[in-house]
Amino acid sequence: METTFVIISYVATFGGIGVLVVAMLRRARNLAERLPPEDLPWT
Amino acid sequence: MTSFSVTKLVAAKDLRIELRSRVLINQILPFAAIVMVLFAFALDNDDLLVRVAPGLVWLATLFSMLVVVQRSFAVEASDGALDALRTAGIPAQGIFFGKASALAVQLLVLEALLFAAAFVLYNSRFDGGGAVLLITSALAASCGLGLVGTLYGGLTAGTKGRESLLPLLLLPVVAPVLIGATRATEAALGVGGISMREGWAWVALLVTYALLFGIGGSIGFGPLVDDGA
Amino acid sequence: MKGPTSTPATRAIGIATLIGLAWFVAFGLFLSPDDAVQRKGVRILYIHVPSAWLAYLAFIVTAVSSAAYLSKRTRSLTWDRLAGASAEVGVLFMGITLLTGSLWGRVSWGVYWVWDSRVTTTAFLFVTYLGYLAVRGLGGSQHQRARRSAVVALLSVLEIPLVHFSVQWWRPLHQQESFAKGKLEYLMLFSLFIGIIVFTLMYVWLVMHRQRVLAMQDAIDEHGLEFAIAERRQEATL
Repeated sequence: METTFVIISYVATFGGIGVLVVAMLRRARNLAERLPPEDLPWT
Repeated sequence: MTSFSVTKLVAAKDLRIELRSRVLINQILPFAAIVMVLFAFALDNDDLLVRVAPGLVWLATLFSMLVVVQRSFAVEASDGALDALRTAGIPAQGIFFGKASALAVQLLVLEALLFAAAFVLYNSRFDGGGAVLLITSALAASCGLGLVGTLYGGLTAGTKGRESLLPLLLLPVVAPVLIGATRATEAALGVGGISMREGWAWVALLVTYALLFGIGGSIGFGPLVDDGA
Repeated sequence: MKGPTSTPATRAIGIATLIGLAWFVAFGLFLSPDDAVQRKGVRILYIHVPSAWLAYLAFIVTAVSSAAYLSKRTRSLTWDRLAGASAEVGVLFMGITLLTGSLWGRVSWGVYWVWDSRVTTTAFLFVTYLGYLAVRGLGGSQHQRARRSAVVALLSVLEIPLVHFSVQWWRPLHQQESFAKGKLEYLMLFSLFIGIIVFTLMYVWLVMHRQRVLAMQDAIDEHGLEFAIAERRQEATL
């Protein structure tokens, strides 16, 4: 039983973070298309 | 206009509106009473009810408080009174403490009636020993609730479905009051094996809570409700 | 990974994070031993403890950034966006903390939940964060949003100790507090340590990117009217 819970923990944690990372980067790409480069002062 | 005179004026205005419209007595009290009846249906055990009566009274108070707070600001929003007060340069602190006082008074009235209902519905018993503790804890709790309710009520008042945010914001914040007031009431009523000394310690927590949010609120209320860019 | 929010800094942090992650999984899941008492369950803690630390750190960052925004000397929407980004990442880590904590509790104590001050305060912080994020979505100008959220964040700083202490006096901590830290073997401590490093790197990477996304969102909203007019003009000339 413990093994199952351990696996669930690791998969849920890093899987969840991974999904959110992908979603965020995709959104970043969408938003950047609508902006001129001056509005991205970190680049 | 000093802050203090503004406080008195605003508190008097709010209480007068309430006295005239009697929303507390006509609508909110029946709601709270029904909540207490529903508790009895849900818990279905007379001994249990006596044991948890203090908690149920304070729960019913908190749920009713949501309605009272929204009403407190609905009377402002309908004719832009709050904005008018602010633009006229009236200090926000005064408005804050004024509305908080009125709210606290209304809550005290509600609590008194709900305790009476608990004695009737739940067969709570009162041996008279804890009267001072009971009244003091209700006072301290009501002050805290009035302050916090005004704060978050002001934030969520207004247009476009902001009001539905009030429960989510307010209920977590008032949790310490629920814990403290319930324990103090249990001590006062001799229920749950809590000593009077412990009950007074909980009152100290309630007073601290009220002080902290009194200070925090007097600073934060202005910026919070200021819709000026 | 050359996205619009990437810079050399984030790329470096990203690579470090991935390397750290590999080490973490290696040590956390395989190379470290089972605990004498908890057996495999202790491996959940390598996620749970760092995640909790970072969630609280994120909350502190949100509070400090909010104060920075409110102070007239440092009033800048960058602080507001940092507060917002940190809160979002904080919610994520708080959720992970609660989930892994619950699973670990089931494995170790047989229950998914206990009403002690740490667990309850964590749950409260989670709900408070959600409230904060909801306040950020209330609309109005960007400065209105910033001011409102900043005050709410600071009020939450006030609220959390009150919740913590009232719950603690309500349910004094039992032996759960004494999860045998002293008995942690070297490799287990090391796994925990890597966990903290990895989660910190993840936090920084996520907040940097998210904050830039929020900045882009704000820029678009600001230009919104100008763009709409320009687009309309373009359509007219086609």
